[in-house]
Amino acid sequence: MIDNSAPIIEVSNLTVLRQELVVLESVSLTVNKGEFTAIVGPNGSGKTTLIKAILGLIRPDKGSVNVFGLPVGQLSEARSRIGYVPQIFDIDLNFPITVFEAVLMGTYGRIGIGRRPKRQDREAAMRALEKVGVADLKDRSIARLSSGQRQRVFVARALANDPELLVLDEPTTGVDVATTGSLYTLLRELKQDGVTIVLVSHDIGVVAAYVDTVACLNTSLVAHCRPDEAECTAALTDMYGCHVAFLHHGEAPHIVVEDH
Amino acid sequence: MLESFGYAYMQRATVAGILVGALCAVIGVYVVLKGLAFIGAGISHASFGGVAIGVYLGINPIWSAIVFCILTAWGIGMTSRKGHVKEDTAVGVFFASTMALGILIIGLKQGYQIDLFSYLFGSILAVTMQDVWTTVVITALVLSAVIVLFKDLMFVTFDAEMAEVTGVPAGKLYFLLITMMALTVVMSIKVVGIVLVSALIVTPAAAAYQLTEKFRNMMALAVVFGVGSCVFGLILSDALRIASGATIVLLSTLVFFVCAAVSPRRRRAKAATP
Repeated sequence: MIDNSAPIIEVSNLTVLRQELVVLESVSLTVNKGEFTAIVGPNGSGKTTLIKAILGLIRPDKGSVNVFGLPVGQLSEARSRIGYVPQIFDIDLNFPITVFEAVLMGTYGRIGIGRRPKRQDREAAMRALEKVGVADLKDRSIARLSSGQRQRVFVARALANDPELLVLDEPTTGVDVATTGSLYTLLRELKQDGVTIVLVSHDIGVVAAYVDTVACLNTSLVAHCRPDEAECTAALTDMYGCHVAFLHHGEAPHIVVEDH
Repeated sequence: MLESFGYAYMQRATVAGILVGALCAVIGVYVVLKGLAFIGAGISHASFGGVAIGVYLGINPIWSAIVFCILTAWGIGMTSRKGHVKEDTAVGVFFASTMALGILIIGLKQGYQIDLFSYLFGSILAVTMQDVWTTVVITALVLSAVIVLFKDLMFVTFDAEMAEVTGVPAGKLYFLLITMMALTVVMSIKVVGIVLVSALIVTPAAAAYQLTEKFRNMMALAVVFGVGSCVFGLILSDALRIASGATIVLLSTLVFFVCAAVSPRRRRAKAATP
């Protein structure tokens, strides 16, 4: 049974090896219901591997991953409560489908194998498109989108099944400033609706203004803290090998990197 | 030119051509979009081993080829998914070894004059009534699976990871897909031959891909191209007394080049280049 009081994500002692290489080492991380967590870290620090393990796409070599209080491998139907926005490079953008069809796919897990989408599923897909502001593009081929529009479409796909947990892998890479801004505003709204959010990101500075906690990853978990805590600043300084500090100027936070 | 259709052999060949053309085209859509062409080539070469086993045991080579190709497809799938080798490496390993096994087994059957040429390059005019019925049953099975699982197969072809995350059994659907590929390959052996099967799977779908940005349209066009190539290839080869399998494949290749030349995709790619 699904335990509603359990943390949404519970990673304990997770170690992942690829070939002989240690990609993640003894990572333990808890994300509670309604929390917005950013996973940050340098390239090759295992960020994507961590979320793939959380999503059950990669099996741990050691340790365990529980989602919604269940081992991730045994989630079955509860999987349709997860929304996932993969890295845009992982998607074949020349695939012959329209924006609406791509977003409707977000509901397929909930619909079940061998069944057709019903009116309520189509409506859910439409609502998701409206939420991200690209409803007017619904009949367009996904190949004919700007990078900003594309990102909105794949966020809409993740939202189509009204997820309780939303996982995004570098959603702002190669995307214009306006889209990045509206994405963060949308994530904030979703958080207010009680959605638990895990975001992998490079924009450490921007992220800090929106998230509850930052998980600093560098093969092992260096720190898991609130962005305004000194511990977080220190961890980032260590990881990037230079001094990083968050400076908040109202709504638009900046990041300052000092010479080292 | 069409008087040959009065003969039973020509009618059987036509029915087989239509079914196989449609089957290859439908499976080809998934193969082209998911990048499984090399697995297709691997499975088709493995069918030689399957045919050889049937000949050696004295059973209908179609049945032994079905079993052998499905096992090979699963072998490739499991080696690449669970093992530490890439998919194309797994195909490479199975590709030659299953063919070598076939050659070895045929060699053991001394004094047996098997018409290897017809298995390698097809002999659509030699299609028997039993072949036709087998093709009808297998085609019906595969196409029903495609219809029932249409949305799910499209999802895993587009984005297997997202499908897996949201609870669609992507792994099982992948194995179903390669099983259907194996069945399609074996059904096509008589029509175009082991060496040319993968072309009949890939080419009509690749041609359709040039013309549309809609999945359903791509599948419909691929079927038109696949069936068209088989039927017209058959008529042409009969009239000109040339090899049927090769004619069918070259005809579909011609269609591909025409489609590629007029493709809106190509025009778009040009327009997008700064």
